Amino acid sequence: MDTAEFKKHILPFREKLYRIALSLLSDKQEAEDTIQDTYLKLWNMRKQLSEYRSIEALAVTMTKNQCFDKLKSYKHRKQDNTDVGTIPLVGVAPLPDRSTEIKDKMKVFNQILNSLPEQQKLMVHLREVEQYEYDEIVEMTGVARGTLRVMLSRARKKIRAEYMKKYSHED
Amino acid sequence: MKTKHIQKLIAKYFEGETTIAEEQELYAFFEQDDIPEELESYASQFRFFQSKREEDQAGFDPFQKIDFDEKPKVSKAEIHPVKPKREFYRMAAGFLFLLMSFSIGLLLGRYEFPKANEVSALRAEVEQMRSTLISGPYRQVSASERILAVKQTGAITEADQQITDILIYVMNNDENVNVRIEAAEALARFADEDRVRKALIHSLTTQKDPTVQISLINLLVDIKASNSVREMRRMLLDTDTREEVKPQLEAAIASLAT
Repeated sequence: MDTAEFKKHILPFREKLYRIALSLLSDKQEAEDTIQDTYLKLWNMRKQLSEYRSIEALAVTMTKNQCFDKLKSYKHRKQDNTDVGTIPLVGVAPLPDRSTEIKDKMKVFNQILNSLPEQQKLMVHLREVEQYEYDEIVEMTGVARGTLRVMLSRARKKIRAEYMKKYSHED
Repeated sequence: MKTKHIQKLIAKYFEGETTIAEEQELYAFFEQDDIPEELESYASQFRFFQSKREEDQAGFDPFQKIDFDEKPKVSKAEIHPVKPKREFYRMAAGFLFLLMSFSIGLLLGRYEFPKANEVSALRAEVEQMRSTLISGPYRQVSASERILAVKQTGAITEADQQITDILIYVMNNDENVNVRIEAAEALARFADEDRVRKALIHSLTTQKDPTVQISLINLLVDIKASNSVREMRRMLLDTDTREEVKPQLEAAIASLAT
């Protein structure tokens, strides 16, 4: 795989990888660093890449593993990231009339999402945000299909329940 | 009818039994403005994930840690020590050739204006671009597709008011930072146009994101927009201006004022 081919294959899922890393690490700088590491690793193994069924799944797996490693070492260092995690990361809202409402609720949802166990949070992100098929997520995370479905179902219900706790008086 | 159907899908969704297509249907449904009352409470959850999908991307180079040039080291025969120079000559030659053929065409008076059907093709293209870029965010056209649409204007060398209008709109209004930057960069190519210059300078005063601000500052320096110095000075004094932008402003003012 030469440089141009490498870039062509690898670049398209850059945004997805970045979002996954950002969702897990809640830190833009760390997320960028992780993606750069992932890309470096992929580059170093460029000769073997054609052996993989899906480079994208491989890249997600690598990104996920690096994030989990980093999170482990954070805990080790007892670094507190909760502040960073709750900063709403939304840019200019798509529909101006809804923007304040979305921003407030975004914050609540971000908090709920960050309260989920890491593995569950990752699955929710892969399915809800990146819209991967179950088979792809199975390949990326190594979790069995049945387990994945149950975990997702639980996470979805939990997110709704937590949200309703805060907002039921309004809606 | 529709409400019943959506309710069924929601029940399946919470059991983890919906397919991607069904989930996309739910997402599309909750993007609408008027949601039936009984479904209202579900809307935020879907809108939340939708907005995550459209989240701002930090513009960064994912290849930063890769040394792409390491390859020639492996096969020494392939080393081109003067590669950049060579490329420069090649580009210069290409450019000269273009210029020559163009002037020859002009001299011979053979330059033909685009025929009617070409004009309509061009118009269709502009229409397509407009729909991708302006209503794109609402129709779930992804940011990368919008960037691509902006990049396609690169093929156009002659400023066309319709195109520059679209780009100006996108620069000021797109929700995604990268799309806005891309539009600003595309516009800088038409900086000879007074209108475009003014739009770029004006945009600097309205953009809130520091990455966009910095890109604009750099572009304004590139196009030597010395009349933007006043705006830059004002930004420098503005307490809302982010710290990381200020050194860029100072440098830009210094280079434009001389």
